Amino acid sequence: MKTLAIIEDTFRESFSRLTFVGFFVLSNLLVLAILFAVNLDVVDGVLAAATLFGKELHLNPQHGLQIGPIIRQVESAFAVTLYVMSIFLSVFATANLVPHMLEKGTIDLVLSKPLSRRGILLAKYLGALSVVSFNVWYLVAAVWLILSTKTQVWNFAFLAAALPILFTFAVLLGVVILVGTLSGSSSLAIMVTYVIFFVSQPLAAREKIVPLLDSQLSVTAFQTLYWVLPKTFELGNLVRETALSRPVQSWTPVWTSGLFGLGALVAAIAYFERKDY
Amino acid sequence: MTALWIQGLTKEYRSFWTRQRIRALDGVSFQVPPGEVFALLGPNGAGKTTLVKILLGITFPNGGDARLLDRPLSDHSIRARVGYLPENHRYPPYLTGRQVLDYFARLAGIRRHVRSKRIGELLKLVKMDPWGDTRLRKYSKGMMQRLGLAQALVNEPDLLILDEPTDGVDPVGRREIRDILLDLKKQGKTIFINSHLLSEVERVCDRAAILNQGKLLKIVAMEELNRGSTLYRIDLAEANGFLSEVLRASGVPFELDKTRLTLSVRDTAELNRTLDRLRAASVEIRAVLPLQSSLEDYFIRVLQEDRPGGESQVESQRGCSP
Repeated sequence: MKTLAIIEDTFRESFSRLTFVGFFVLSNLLVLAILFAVNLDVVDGVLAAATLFGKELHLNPQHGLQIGPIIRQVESAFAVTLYVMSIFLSVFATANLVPHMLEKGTIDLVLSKPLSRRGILLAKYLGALSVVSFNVWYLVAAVWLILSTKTQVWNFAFLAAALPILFTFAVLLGVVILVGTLSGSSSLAIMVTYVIFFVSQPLAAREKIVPLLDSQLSVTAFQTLYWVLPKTFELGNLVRETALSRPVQSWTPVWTSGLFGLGALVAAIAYFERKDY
Repeated sequence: MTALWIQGLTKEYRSFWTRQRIRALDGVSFQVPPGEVFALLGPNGAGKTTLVKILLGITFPNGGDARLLDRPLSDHSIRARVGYLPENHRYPPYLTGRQVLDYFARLAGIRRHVRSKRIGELLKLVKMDPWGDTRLRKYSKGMMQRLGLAQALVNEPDLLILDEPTDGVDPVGRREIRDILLDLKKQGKTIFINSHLLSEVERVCDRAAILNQGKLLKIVAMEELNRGSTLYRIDLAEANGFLSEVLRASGVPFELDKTRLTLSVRDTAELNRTLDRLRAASVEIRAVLPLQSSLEDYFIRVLQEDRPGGESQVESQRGCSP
């Protein structure tokens, strides 16, 4: 009951903030854009005509395009867009939750209640994850419903793409919570998390970059960073593959990233349990 | 059984950059039995808030030991029986008063059917029922303080810890809070108060501890204080020739400056007897004002004694008193 109370309060706090309202408004704008901008005429499972923002797309009538594969490709592109957009906005929207809880006058009240410190931080983590899950599922399901209704292609794999998006956010939320607990600064938490998110792309190209490095030390540092930091670039690929119903090629990015997120969360709890407020 | 047991509690803060050490608490020991109203007094930086924070698990001690309601501080479940009103508390501004109470009641583990009834009663008790469904961003400081008190009482605590409970509250509100505390005292609750308002403390508390620079200087019972003398200023319409004679005959130490008379009496009975004598001698009295509360006198004296060479200063002041 106590954990649920903190999760519920995190929901209320999130929706009282402009950042989350902005996230929700942007999600709805995207949904509306898809609803009104994309028009597809499907005849007997073949795409006969398509318009985007009122402009007709030229399709080769001699090669009747099968609608199923096209829609899957479109949805996978949407899934990757949603992945970047959701992570970007979710980190921004949740970064203040822990620093706000740690403010003088607020933390005193929470810690004076019969709750373990570990329980408080975990509840805050779950609360933030629940709020973002609600938003991501809403966005993914709305886009899926519109595209499926318009095309009559019901690609359920697109819905499953929400899972790797949420998994990646869960990993990065560990970083947000750790930096927020250590520094009490939401700005720093956002900066560190974005750096970790974007550094994954050059690290993923290690097979091309490593041969260009001069010293063994640079190679070791590069490889270490690759293995230690969450592999958000590969997880982005996993989102696309999931939307296309393709089997997972490698689970390594998943479990190594998961370990990193777990490590960050455990470190945040260990610090929070010993800290004087 | 003790409501509060503190033994040799020590807390030292260390600056991260300069490594400078600041001793906020230095071997503090005392006990508070159940049902007592106990005050912690001291100047700013004396260590009062640090002590309260240690008791509630908000800060950790470097040394010593303490128990709340006979349970170690590490047992966080005991805090279900403790109510706390922190100084400068901040509640979520997006909630209404009722939602705040509901949230903290849930954190304290109170069941739904008990919560709704209790919250209604508490809003009435602190006279906040008309604003129960108003968002906190519209509350004044006094309203926040009343809500804070309701929050501290939401779990029907056996031990109530209040840090500056009347801070920002108008005189009428202060009196209402004092009445609530006296009522809780009658119910046998243990109350631990941190306050700068010594007159309030004197009216409500059974005992008070005085802290300075992290050290416990004295613990005093209010009964003991009341046995000492208290100063009153009497404003007279005019001083007649018999006045000094009447006062000397009463045996009460006094000081007379034109129409302003200062009396040092042991209790109100002695004050009334002296006033009766003055009236009998046709002295017209315009006003009777208590000059300082005896706790305030005691508090200042204890702090002065704690200063290096403080004892001699106190003696010279006593020599000047009537």
